[in-house]
Amino acid sequence: MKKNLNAGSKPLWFSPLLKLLLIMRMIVFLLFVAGLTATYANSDAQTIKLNLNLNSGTVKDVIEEIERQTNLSFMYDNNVFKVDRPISINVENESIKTVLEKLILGEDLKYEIVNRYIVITANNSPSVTQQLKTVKGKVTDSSGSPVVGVTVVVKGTNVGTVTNSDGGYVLSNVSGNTTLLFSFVGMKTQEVAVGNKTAIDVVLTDESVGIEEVVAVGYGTQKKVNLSGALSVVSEKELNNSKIGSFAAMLQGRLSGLSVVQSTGEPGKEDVSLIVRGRQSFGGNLSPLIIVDGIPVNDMSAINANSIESVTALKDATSSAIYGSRAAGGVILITTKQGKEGKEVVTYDGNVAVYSPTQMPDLITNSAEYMEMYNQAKQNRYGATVANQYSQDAISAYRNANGDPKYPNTNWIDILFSPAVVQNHTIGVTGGGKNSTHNITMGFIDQPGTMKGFSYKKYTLQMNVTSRISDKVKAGVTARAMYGERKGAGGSVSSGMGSSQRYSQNILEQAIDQAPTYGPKLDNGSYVSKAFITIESPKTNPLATIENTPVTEKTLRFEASAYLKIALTDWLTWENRGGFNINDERRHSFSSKVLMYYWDGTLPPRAQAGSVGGDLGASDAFNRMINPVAYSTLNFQKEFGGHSISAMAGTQAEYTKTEYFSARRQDFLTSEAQQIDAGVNNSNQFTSGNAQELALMSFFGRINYNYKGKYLLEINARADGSSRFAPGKRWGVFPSGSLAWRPFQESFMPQVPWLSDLKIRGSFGVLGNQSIGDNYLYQSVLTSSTITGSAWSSAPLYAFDKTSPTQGFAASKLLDPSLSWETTYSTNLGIDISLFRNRLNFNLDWYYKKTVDILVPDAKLPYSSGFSTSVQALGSMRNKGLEATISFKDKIRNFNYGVNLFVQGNRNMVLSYPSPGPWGKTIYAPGLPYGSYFLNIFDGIRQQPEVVKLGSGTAYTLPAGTMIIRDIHGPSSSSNYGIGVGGPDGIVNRDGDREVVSGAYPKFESGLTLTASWKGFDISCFFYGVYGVKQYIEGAGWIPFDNTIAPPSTMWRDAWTPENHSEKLPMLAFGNMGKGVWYNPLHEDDDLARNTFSLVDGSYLRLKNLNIGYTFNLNKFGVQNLRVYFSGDNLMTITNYPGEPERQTGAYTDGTAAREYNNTFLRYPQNKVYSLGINLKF
Amino acid sequence: MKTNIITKIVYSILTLTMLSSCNNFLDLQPLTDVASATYYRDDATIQSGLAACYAGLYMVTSSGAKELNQFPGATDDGYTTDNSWQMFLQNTLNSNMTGDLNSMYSNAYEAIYKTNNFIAMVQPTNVIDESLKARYIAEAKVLRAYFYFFVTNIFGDAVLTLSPEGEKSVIQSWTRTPRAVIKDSMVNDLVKAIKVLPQTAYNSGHIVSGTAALLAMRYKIMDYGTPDYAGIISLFESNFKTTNDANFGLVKKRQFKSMFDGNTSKNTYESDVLSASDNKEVMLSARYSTSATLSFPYPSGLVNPSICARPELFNFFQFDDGTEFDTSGANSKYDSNDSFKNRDGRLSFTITNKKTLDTMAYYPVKNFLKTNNTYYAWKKYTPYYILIDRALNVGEITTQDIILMRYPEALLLYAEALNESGRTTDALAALNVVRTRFLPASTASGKDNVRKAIRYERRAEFAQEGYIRYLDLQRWNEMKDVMPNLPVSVLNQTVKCTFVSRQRFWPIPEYERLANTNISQNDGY
Repeated sequence: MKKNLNAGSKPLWFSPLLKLLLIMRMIVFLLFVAGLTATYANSDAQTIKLNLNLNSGTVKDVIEEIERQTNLSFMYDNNVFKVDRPISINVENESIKTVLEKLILGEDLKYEIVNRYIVITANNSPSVTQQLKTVKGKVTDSSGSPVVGVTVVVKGTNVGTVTNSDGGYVLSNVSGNTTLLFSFVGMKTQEVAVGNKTAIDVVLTDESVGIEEVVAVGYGTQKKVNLSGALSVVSEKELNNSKIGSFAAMLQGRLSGLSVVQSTGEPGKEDVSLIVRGRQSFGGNLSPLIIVDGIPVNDMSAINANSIESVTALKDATSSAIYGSRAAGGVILITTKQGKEGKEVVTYDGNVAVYSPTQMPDLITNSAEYMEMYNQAKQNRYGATVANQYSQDAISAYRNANGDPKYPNTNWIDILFSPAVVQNHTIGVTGGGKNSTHNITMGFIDQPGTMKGFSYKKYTLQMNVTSRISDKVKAGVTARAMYGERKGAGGSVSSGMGSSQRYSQNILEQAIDQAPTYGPKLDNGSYVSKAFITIESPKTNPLATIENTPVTEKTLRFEASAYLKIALTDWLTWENRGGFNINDERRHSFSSKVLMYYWDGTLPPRAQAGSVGGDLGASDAFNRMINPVAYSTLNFQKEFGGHSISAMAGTQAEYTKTEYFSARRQDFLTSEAQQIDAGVNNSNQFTSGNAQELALMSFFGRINYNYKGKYLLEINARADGSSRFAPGKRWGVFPSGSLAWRPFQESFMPQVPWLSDLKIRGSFGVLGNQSIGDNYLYQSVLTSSTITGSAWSSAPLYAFDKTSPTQGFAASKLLDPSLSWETTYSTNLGIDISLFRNRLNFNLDWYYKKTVDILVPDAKLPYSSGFSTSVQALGSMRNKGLEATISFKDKIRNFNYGVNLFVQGNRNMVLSYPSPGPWGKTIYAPGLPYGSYFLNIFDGIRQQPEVVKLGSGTAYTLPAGTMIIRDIHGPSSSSNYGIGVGGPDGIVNRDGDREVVSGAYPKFESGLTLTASWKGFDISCFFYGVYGVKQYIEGAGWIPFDNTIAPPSTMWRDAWTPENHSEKLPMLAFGNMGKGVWYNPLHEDDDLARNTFSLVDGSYLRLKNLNIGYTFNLNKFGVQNLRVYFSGDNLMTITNYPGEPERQTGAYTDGTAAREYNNTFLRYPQNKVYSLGINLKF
Repeated sequence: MKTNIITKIVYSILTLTMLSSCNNFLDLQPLTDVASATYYRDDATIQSGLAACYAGLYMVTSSGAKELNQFPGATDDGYTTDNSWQMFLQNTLNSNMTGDLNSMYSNAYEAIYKTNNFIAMVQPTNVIDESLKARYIAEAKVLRAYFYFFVTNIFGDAVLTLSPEGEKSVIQSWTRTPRAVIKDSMVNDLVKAIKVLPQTAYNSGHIVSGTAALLAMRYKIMDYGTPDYAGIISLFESNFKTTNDANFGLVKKRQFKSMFDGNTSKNTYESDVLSASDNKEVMLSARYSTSATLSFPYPSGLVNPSICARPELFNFFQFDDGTEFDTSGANSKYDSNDSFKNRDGRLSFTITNKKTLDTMAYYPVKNFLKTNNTYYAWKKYTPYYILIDRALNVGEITTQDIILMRYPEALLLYAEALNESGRTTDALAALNVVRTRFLPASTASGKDNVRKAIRYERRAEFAQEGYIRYLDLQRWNEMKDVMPNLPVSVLNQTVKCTFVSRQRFWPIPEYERLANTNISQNDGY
């Protein structure tokens, strides 16, 4: 509690939020002091006795000690009273007067004790007491109404009061040479010198929204009030609540315009996808460009959430065009915390959390029930006398087992999953002197998985150092390191790096594809494959997979940059920054041989130990990326006569090299030693390696102009050259511009008391994209490939000599030197309104983005070219959407509360597509959202047998209990993108009778944040919801007896039977669902299985985070801040989806192969998290 | 002061531009793939480019185009249950279908592209001897002609492209060239190649002069227009009668089987193992390797009845005295106990003898095969040891070369040209060179009888050797007579094949026409 009467110092910058906090804190303090003053008013401070034992301290130490021992506070001017002076004081039970005299001994100073303040002034200054007087007055706003609750403080002290219901205040014992500060949330703070006045009336004017607030923009910062583009910002404070799990996932619902989907809860592989304002490319990289402290990085995994200062999403062309080539997918700017001048502050943030799966499939795990359902399904498919059913004896044995372990009811999910305890610790040190500041953060996360065999450990380090070399030269370093170690299982040793994210999914599939009639292991520890030999054919025992195919992935990341900022003149600054990112990934996997037993303990005939995960043996893979970047900018800023001009010009160069190497040995005699050299040194070993480079060079510039804060203009341009394109096609120029108007700054506009600010914005610009995988698009290359397996397809070898074939080298792709940049035209209109002294803020943005010349990696080529596909600039797509944010904050006495709601909706439409038509269950065609669902329509359950023509027209008698599929069209037509033409033709078939069904993308998504605080308590909840999206579900967990054995979910207890005439669920049917046995069990070739029965509403509303904390006031113990909190993630979900609803939608994932992948029902489940943590600052 | 600021600004701008002054910063060369422009440095690298051209033979024969496996099933020689081919047999082919229709078309053009690219890239190099370079280019051109022969005879008019093209706009402006024009262009290449290529036997795996000559003869006999009989006679006489006399010939009767037998070293059953240098008969083959990585799947007729021989083919082979096969017993050559006995020797080299089934190891359709007389398993390309040693699995592989051209074809084309030109006696002489390996010399007289004898010889000699029978029936206009009598598959004897005129060609795949709207469709599709 130091109270410097530091008249000359003025805060250099304060974000309004910090300012608000300060004001709030001050008010709380004032109330506290007021109370104390009341209590101690009559006690005689002069008589206080002190014990001091201070050797070789400073005056300051003494002051702090006195403040600690008494209720007194010091007031002084730093320039007069030098508190750094060394001093030694040893007194025992001495009066305060004596101590104070010692303190100012030899100085030209005097002291006075006034109320609870010790005022130290120069000897020649007039006595404080003599000049003390009472000041009163009234505070009104510009319309003349009284303002209640205005804080009135003597500047530099905490002496003050608050205005009453009439706006009036009375402040006694005020010295004439002080200044009063009048401050109120949402209004401009006013200072009035007291002088000889005893009545001071003040008119407070509204403050524009964050008039001083500065936000990060490309290559610099801007005052928020001067922005004309569309961007959204989230500050550290708002992210602070929940620092658990991946940082990227924390951005979900926090930044309007940014869609964040976390696909799995697998530790270290959360698979977070970020999309800014919808999908705008077919196969290219859709993710936004991520810039941390000016340097582009691959992803956010190295970032510790505790080091974040703010995150900005640049959404429209104007704000992102400065990053031209790579900004079509938007830009996310992350600023990390710099050190602050002042005392060293140590922070510790830690929490311990219990993770458990959010939602798991609810399967039939009672063996007897399972066996009966199995028989039923089989009979429905093949008739009552079908072979290989569970016998009644077997069913009875299980039913009457009474806990006999021979007849288990195994829940395979329970075997694999158990709650995990996750720890997260961060220690930070920040501080610095006048010339150098630092902020260092170290973090550690230990995250065992909820599923056996999976875990993640992550260590992070962030170090920011800033140095002021002179008044004009500043330099600094930002360095970040991360080491992550991920353990998993289930990968094939021959698969490459990065494919591991699906391992957990494979294991989950294995777990669900087991019958409950046996356990995972025999008593002697041997693995079990099945119980009923002729009936059951499950996938590999998942426990055997987990325990015998370990995979370790280690990531070492280093991201560092240094800068030098030189103020050439007071209106021109030159900034240089250079840095590099290194990403080093290593993967080691091993697969050992396993012997599988039957549940009765016997071995299958001719049983041999075999692999449980693809090839046997050990493999190591190494991936390294090194990515140096450097840029240099000149920044100009000048103001004259209401005109304010700033301009920036710069250049950037960037280079990326990736290298890959892998080695594998297959034959191992034992699994005890699992490194490659432990294997048999024979010909079953393989290596591969490659490397790629990419270079980008850019020139860019920006001009900002504003006139009296009324008219705002911004023009950006960037020219990018990419090594991906041929010399003549290399450069792309991406200009943009925006305008904004703040009408109420105009003198001719009437002042509206409740309207604090209004801004109307508009922007248009062009952005580019070149990120489509192949680094050597235009170059003619010859490729050899290693022969593995059969060679007759595109064989690169030819056996002129039959014993040693000649390696062939041939062109593997078609060159199109005319390829160039993919271009996005982006328009944005926005309005920002602040009402009721900025308590209520409203932002609305409308955008329209059109992407043309989309680079399609697998666009059709005529076969006669020699190739069937090539990279082509084809197709166009548009995205349009609305984003709205409403926020309200208010304070009732010391109860603060706030609400923030954002809603956004994006509409995607393909304008032209290179090869339109259906692709699996989706369709890609002009006029439709990219990858719309294209399915047969499920029309309920057939209650009576019926003759129906199927396929090419053959009539079948379909039994009751089967699905009714709607006859909609005649045959499909290629001229109609494969959609059927004409009306119903009396024949039900897949091709003609499919319809485009909505739901590939959410209609809108929204986030709602509620915050409140009262005294030391704070609470925040964050809800996130996605509406109008549908998910198509396939596979085990959804389809009963998928792959012949997977148990049905409990909903199938209501399946249609002759007794139970369900209208919703067909009868249980055994066999290949992909071939439509649900529809027609007699003829499984009619591919009608892909119908809307499996298209399920995927909307959800989820309490993403609830955080309740209490902050202790422990200043006496030298602790600045101690907050203890409970935090919960994913605590509550409202959805109709029969599983974990948070998942990517439609064709959201990149690339062709992934188009179908997303809809697998099984995913490593997301986590429900209960955590307890502390934030400590001292 | 003012100048000081200006100096500072100038310095900083200089630095700005320095960052990006390196002009070649954006010129990056691939690190893993070799740049085409600089790849060819010596004979070894050029040969590797040529190897990729030859590898096209795999694609056309066994991979996509199934020249080996499927075409016999589209004639009166065999069955195939493959969906695409069933559609051909039942005249339900449509351009939207995928499968073999697409792969036959695309694989041929992929192979053509590789030859074009090779020729274009080797042409300007000077790293090897000019005559060697000319030879390599000639080999690539013969390969290209081989692929175009396939395209123009299966799909009719086709896109003719003789240089590698990358510009999409150019590719999409291509139209189909009349097949006769393509033929002229290819024959022109072949005639030039004949002169450049070595006049040796085909045993190094490289195309030789004789290969080019025989391919030119094939072009001239096909229905591109009126067959050029004089051209065929002249090609044969100038290439095989004198200059190449010693390079080509027929292997001995007992060696015949060895040509199609994957692994001669295991072939203890036959005494006459055929050495590579003995083999003057093969003139072009897709060469597979004993190094195990380069191989192709056996015809699967012994595993399931999807690809097999028809009884019509079995009945077609004459008795070994040159008389028609007849089960009435009127001919004493007929042995009701073993109907393979006393037949044209090529029968038991072409079709698996049902009598021997009991001595063979287990295979899935053995019983079916033994009892079902509408079904015969192919024998060519199926080594004997496979049959007796162990079970044959689906997709089992062999390293046997797929023979694409044999010398008897040159003789028979010559005979056919002579006969059609009215030189029946000369024709008969040429025919008998082939026939007398297995049968007594033909004494047929008159143009029609000699023609019939030639047609017998072609079918008996080349059964199960790719598209030879298929194209013969097409060019002789016999499909319409033969096919409607044949059941569509061994499993469906009631439905018969169909043949109408549009079936002369397959439709152009829809994929091609979507990607290039200038490509027309064949009549009837």
